[in-house]
Amino acid sequence: MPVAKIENLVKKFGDAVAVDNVSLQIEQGEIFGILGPNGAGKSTIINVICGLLSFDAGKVEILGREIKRDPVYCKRNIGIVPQDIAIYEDLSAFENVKFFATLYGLRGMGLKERVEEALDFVGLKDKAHSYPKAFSGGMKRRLNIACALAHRPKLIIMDEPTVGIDPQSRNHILRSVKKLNELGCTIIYTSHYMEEVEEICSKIAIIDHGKVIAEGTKDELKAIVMNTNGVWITVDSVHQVSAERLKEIKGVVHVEIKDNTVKITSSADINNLDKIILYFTGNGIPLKNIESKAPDLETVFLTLTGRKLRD
Amino acid sequence: MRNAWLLAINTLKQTARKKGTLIILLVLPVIGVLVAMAAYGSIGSSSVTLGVVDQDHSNVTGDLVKSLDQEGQFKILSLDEQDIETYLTAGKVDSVLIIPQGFAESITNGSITNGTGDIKENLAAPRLVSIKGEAATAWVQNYTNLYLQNLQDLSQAAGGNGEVFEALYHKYQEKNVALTVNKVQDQTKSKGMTTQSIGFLIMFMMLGAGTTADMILKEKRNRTYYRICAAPVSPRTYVLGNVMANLFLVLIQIILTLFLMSKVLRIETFVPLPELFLILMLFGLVAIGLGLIIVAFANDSVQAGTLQTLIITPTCMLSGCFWPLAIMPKSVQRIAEFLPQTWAIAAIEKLQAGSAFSQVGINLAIILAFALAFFLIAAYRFGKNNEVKTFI
Ligand SMILES: Nc1ncnc2c1ncn2[C@@H]1O[C@H](COP(=O)(O)OP(=O)(O)OP(=O)(O)O)[C@@H](O)[C@H]1O
Ligand SMILES: [Mg+2]
Repeated sequence: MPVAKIENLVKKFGDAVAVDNVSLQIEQGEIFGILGPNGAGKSTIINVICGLLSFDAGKVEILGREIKRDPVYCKRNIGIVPQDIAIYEDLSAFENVKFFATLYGLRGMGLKERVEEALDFVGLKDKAHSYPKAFSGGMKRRLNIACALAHRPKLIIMDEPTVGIDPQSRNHILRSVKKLNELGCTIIYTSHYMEEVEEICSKIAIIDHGKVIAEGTKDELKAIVMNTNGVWITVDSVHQVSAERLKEIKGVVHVEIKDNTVKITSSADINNLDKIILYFTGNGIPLKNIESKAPDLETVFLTLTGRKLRD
Repeated sequence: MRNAWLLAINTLKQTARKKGTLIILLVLPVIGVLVAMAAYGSIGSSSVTLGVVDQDHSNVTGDLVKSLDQEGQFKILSLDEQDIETYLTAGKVDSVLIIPQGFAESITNGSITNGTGDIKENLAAPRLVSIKGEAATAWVQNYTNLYLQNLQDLSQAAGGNGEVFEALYHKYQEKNVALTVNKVQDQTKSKGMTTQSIGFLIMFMMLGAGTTADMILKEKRNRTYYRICAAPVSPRTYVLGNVMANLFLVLIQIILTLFLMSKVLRIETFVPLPELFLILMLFGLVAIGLGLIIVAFANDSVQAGTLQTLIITPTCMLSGCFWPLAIMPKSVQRIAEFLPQTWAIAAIEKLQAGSAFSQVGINLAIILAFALAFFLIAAYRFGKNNEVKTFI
């Protein structure tokens, strides 16, 4: 039995279709990544799964029960980490986790233990009795996660849990996601950071404009773009580099210029490295470094949509 | 139900940690009572001068004047009849008590009373002339009436026999000062004080309920509402939790104010405390309902705050929370009939005037109807936009 099963889900806001006929199946023990740019419909899908949003068509099942028929059962088995931090500034970290845990029916002796366990899990044990007012962004994010854990849900849904935080907190969060998974939790993880998704997710769905445009394991997805390869060329100054001219070279499918690096993607079956280098040397642009890049999820997205995940 | 309870506790916990909210909830009602006390305390202070024209020059009238003087509420000034107008218009006295000739006589033979205890319109009854409003004279009127009541009781006991009355009167005078003070209460003053204190309490109850309801908007803003709804909690349970927290706070406000009035400041309310309590609790429901409506219609806290101020203050003014409704124009009194506060205050005034509790049933029913209507409107509105999408 899949932990979550979404069939032909459609959600409209007025005339705008936010989720367009999406079907996903999340199996026990997976870390399921939903990758997509801003406005792709990730949060909308999540809100539907959590029973917070009605939908226009389709079917959503959690642990074999329909969310519309049995919302209480479904909600009880889900832990949600919302995209926006949802905690009380006037309650201590401990009180925050405790309050939300009690809403799921926890009480008595077990309650305190579970709350401490959750705080310990996100590394906030020694801050249990401090108030979130004094917390850094990363600490608030971690508390936001702890609030979803104390009732030990079977399915944990994290909606961009690492937005806008320092690398240290981010690594901590990614590690805890893996640890939760090892403890037997199934996890849905949305992000528009493809590196994150690539690092932790066992299965990935790429969403754009409310549609699933690709789905599979990391390797399956990368196989889509196996016929491309990338080369990153670092120069002193990108002033004189023209993306347009580079694209005229045979086999080049995409050019991106960022800082002092020119990232060029080409079809694998055409060997055009010599022509690319010639372009630089011919225009008197000294090369500082040349790097060959294996395809990543960014390339996958790029290839599928012609756009980048993030600007 | 457990979840509603948990939500209520959580709301209360946060309220308790906000100094500003606590002040609105608990300190302001206390200040309201004190303000009402001060407003009424100043009336009848020694800054008011009472002229007395004693045309009777009898023992009895002398004692009456003396006893008025001893009360210390007024400066007493003895006048002749022809001076009344000059003194009054010049403002040297605020009001004049005229005790006609034959007063003692008519007391002694019992002709001043009509037997039921009311003072008969009678030439021999004292009159009060005043250019200030009722407020200035009410106390004297009360006092004199009670004094007369005592005399008339004696007179009745004496059965019109002058000598027996004389004997009784002497006994009365001897052991009397304490007795008089005990018996004579300035009812107008403490009745007014009660109504005004309750008026302030009503306003602060409304403000308080608005503040607590505002927690809903805050929870939507800080997204905890989202998390609560993601837990197995229905929007209905959520609102119920807020109402429960609100009821508790209203209860505290009422108990605090009533305790302060009756036990600390010892204001005689002339309404049994349980009845007062019941009326106020019913009105508490109205306040909570209104708070929910405001929150249901407002988009953010600023809007809610503005709406709250725009609604609560003027309606409290119109409905006689701050001053008696009777002093306002007829047209305003008409409008006031459509305000719930009016009915609560009217109920209290009726009870003060001696009505039985059953006679204010209509008032209570109207207050309850207001509360019910408010809850229904709020519920309808919450139902319409309870989908969390509006807050994502
Ligand atoms: N309450 C709403 N009313 C109207 N439109 C909405 C609402 N919520 C979302 N949308 C629209 O639905 C689309 C999908 O939004 P959604 O929040 O699901 O995107 P997302 O993938 O989570 O993006 P992000 O990465 O920015 O969080 C967007 O075009 C958004 O404007
Ligand atoms: Mg989102």
